Amino acid sequence: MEREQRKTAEVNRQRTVHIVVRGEFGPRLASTLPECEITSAAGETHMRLRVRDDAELFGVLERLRDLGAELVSLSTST
Amino acid sequence: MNSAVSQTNPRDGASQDAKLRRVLASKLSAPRVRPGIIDRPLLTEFLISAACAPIVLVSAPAGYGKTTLLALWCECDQRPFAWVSLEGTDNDPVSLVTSIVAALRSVLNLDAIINDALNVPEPPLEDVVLPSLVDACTRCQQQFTLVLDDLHTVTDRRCHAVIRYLADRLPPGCQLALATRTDPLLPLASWRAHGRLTEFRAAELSLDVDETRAMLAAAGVRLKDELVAQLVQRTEGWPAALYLAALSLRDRAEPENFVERFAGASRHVADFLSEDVLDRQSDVLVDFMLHTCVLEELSAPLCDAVSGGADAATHLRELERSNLFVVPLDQERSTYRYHHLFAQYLRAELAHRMSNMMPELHGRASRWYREQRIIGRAVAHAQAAGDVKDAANLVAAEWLPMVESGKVETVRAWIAGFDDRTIENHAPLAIATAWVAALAGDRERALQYAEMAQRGSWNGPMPDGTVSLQSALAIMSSAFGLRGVSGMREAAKRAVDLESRANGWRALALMLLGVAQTLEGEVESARKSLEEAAHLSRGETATGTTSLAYLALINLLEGHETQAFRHAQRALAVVERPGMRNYMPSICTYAIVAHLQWRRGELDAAAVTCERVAALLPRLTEAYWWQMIETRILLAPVLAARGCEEQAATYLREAAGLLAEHKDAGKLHEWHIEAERKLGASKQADRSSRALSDAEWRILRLFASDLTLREIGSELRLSMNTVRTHRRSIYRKLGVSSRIDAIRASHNARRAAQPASPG
Repeated sequence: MEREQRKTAEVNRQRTVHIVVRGEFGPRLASTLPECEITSAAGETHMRLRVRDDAELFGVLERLRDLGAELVSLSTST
Repeated sequence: MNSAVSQTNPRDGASQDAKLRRVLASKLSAPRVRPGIIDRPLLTEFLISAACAPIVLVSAPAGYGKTTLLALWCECDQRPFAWVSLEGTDNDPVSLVTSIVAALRSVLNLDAIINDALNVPEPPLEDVVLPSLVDACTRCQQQFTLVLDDLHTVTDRRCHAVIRYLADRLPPGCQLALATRTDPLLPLASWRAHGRLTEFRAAELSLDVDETRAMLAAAGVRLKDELVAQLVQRTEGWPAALYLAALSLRDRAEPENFVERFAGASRHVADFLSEDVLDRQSDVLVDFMLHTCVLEELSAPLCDAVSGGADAATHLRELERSNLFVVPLDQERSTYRYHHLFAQYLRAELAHRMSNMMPELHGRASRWYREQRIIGRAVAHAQAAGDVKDAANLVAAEWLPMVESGKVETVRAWIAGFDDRTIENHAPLAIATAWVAALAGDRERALQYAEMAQRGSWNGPMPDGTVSLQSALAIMSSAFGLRGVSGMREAAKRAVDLESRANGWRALALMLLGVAQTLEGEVESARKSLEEAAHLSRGETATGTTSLAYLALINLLEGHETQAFRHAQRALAVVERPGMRNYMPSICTYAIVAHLQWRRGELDAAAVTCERVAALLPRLTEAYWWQMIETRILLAPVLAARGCEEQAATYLREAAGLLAEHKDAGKLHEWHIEAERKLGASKQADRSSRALSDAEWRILRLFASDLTLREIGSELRLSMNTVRTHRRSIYRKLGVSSRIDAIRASHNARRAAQPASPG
């Protein structure tokens, strides 16, 4: 029962995140973010991924920060 | 009890593993400035002139030259610099303070007291270590700068509290310099408003055209001005990218072509440049870099172990000579690290080219660190390797000494690195998780993982040194009183039988057995168990002090107050040592000492001891329900005697609540009832004695002397008749019929009752 409630709560926190950074990521940088669906065009890299919760989202942002990526935009949808 | 976990490191009962506390020397020296790094006189001059602002914040993304700027500052400032390069393992207030103290020691004479206070379980940071540190800094009259580099790796709220404490109290002329990729959770706005903060951000750190030209020239690259301008524009002055560009351009026949190709590309700047730089290196060197990029620190032996080669020393010199983003970390040039950003790109390359190598490299690094007894890094690499079993074994073996050295947060972070399924499949890890939860006061979680461990299996001795899973489970079950006091005794007995070797675990099992026997009223067998436990632990550790405290309790139950006091004093001498005072298991000793002091009428001393108890009480968690009850019963009469009847009543109510939940609690029920009865009686006695008039009180006080009635009269300038009248009235009010009874009754009225139970 409790476990199921937790499951539901987890599902509620799940979101799809769309992140845009400056500069096109080559295949090498793309491979550091295997969980992201990555497309690069017009001097930008678009990343789409499903996160379980905020902690996971901030983890991805931290990795982008450590790569020296410059954030252009971030949006989420459930 | 908590002491269960405490101090019972069977491999090394006397002291903690000194190497656990060792701070890696390379973390504590300012990185040498690499050749080819351009001087930034404007920035460093500004830094030196900003000496009036006690806090310097260098906040910018990776590759903006934060560390370099601070290293340049360090080279041209007169004052000594205490330098800490932070990393993930510092994300624990105790580790952080240990690193800071070690760094400050290089510039100041620090009292031994600071080290003593740190060298204990649960070090008292706010109460002792930090105030002594600030005090020492002030007394030294030595101006210095404390650098905390890579502050973004530290996210724990209490770590930020430590930094804030220091920032607000550093003596005049001293500065705190913080370098970070993320603005820290510190009162920056307030510091800014009060002129206490000097800031360097990406805008200040970017290279302009002149600086870029100078940097390229230092790298042996000469470019036309418009090409330099193009580079700066394309990189927006991002120093790391410009250094990469310089490496790319070096020895190139037609640099113009490259600049134009780069300027026209839409690829991510550093991605483009780092790929190019790597393409220009020999295969052997690239191979070496890819194999070693998972390391946070590069030394020849470690690199050899991880790369499987024998030429690491040569490669490292080669990397330094060609300026390939290695930062020397010491004077001897024996330790380096990759520039953080470059390391990220190397890792990306590694993941791209041979992702299957990554776990293997981390595994090798973990084994090397384990051999060196650098446990934090060994665990981090084992977890990064994804070798769950290996990491679990390591944590299950090392959690106890870590907890004992106060690094509970570190252990909690280790455990957080495992998912529940892993813990479920690894009984020793489940046991470690349960203990850590219990120490943190989370009984529910402790029980959850205790059950998990019970369902598990394990062959042979446990990583923590207990002889088997059965024994480890029995010790835990006993300490948490999972099946009441009778279950506690049975489990402890099982553990005593299993732990046949004379070590800390046997001592702990015996202590728990003695406690259970005491609580069941089996005084004689309890004494035997406790004496052996005290002997095995030489009375030194928390197991030892708790055994002595229970021996004192037994003496008290038998009415041997003097003997009780002797045992309690022995335990007190140990728990009063620096650090032990703040260690939760010491509460058991303090509680019995306070009780005995009250019985002896030493209310002032009891007041001090009560404060020690009060400081520890919040840490005594429901995992140790029996200790919670007993502490409250012992303390209630002491508090009542000190006029805190409300608090005493609250303690007894709380004890009653716990007893209702834990019915199998042996003698605790009786002691509780007795304590309640006496608290009520003392109140009543108090009421009746209050009814005595002042004159009656004065006479009653003299009753305790050996003066005759006539002498009392002349002492108080009263007639014999008046004294007789007062005496009659006193007897009536106290309900007694003799002088000796009156004295006794007044005694009780003031000090609450004191019979042969701890109540």
